[in-house]
Amino acid sequence: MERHLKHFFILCVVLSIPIGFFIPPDHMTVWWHKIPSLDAWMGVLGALFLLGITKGIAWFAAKKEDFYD
Amino acid sequence: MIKPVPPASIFILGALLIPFLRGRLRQIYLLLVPVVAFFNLLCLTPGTTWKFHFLRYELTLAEVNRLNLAVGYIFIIIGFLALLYALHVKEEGQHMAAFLYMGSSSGAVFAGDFVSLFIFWEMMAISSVFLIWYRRNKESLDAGFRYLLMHLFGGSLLLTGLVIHILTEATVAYTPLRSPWAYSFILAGFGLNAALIPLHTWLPDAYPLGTVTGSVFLSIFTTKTGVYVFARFFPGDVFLGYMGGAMALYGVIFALLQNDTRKLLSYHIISQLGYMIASIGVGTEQGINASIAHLFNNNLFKPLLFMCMGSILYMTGKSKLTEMGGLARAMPITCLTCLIASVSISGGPGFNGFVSKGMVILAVSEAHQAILELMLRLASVGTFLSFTKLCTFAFFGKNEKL
Repeated sequence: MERHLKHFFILCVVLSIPIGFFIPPDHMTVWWHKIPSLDAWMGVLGALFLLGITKGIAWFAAKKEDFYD
Repeated sequence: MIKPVPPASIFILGALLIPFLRGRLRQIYLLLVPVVAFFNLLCLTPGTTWKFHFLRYELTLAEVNRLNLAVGYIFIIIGFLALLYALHVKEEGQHMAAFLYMGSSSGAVFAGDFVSLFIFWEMMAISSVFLIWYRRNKESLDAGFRYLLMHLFGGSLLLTGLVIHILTEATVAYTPLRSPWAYSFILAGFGLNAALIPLHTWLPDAYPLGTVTGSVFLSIFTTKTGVYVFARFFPGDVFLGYMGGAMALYGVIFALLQNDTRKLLSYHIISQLGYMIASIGVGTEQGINASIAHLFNNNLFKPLLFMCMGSILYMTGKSKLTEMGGLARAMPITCLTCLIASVSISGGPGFNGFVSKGMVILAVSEAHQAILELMLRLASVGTFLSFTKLCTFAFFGKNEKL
């Protein structure tokens, strides 16, 4: 069950990008709203970006510092 | 014909009766009071006021308008559900604190002048701290003191701003904040309750250490009252717009780093408040509507998430994600409700968060705030990530010990 859910989740993520090419964007106020599948790209790239930042903060917070050295 | 009364009075006077009731009778009473308060709210029409004279000022204990009516409805609806969740609690003190907290929050929302607002504001801080202290351990006691100290500091800022405003305008009525000093102090005073960065530290410190039911109440009122007053007094403030964007991003980044479930949710409160405040900062009619819509929806899914995590804490005694796992089988209803709330807060299509987050992003986008829109979109991605983490670790991960 858990494996099927995981596969379904990955399938949704992968399919969301090509699907976006067939759905015309609406409410365009800035140029990047015209990019096909913007939300899906934003999701994938944004997730990688945020994970990078959190990993960086976690590394910094876990760093052992000797302030008396 | 029954005359409606100020919404706050029902809960505040209702709290006084709780110690005299026992067992089933008390449980019925706890549920009956919010029902009465709800029907009272239905009888209120915009424009209704309750005024009285104090010294040489005319105080407006309550004033009804469409904005505070919308907030009042959600406070009472979700307050009823939180009381239902807390029905098993035996300590009458916790129920009294919850009632006083609900009453003072409603009082702050419906207050019609600055003095009444300040009185209810402080009552809210004092009554809510008991919901942390009732956990009865050292961490909660310390966190409660820090919470109280921060809120008294916020109250002092607010009082300073109000005194300047009252001295310059010679009225306690809600009039535009023309003095820049009054404006700044009042903004900071309200900002502490709305968890503006860097005045937010009390929130992830205190909320995870409240009682199982107390954290549910805490997630409903204090911060949302802060949002309401921002919508009432500071619409269109550019600083608030970008502060909202920063809060939305900061909240999700730090939520992703958390291992404690209720701490993760606490950081998410900051993030969701960011959406509401950014939308208020836009200042358009669409922006204010979006903010209040998100406040309404957030008050449905955020307490539900606290209820789910409280249930896990109650059943397993665990609050760390790394100590959980496999709870989908042991607690299927909690798993289902948590998934619903997680999809809602992540803005999943068909759920309420999708509508109100969409409204907020649309309002920001149509105000041509491109950077702010990007910040909110990115925060939305982070919300999805952290709730994927929460649900996977808590319900679908492997843990033989549980």
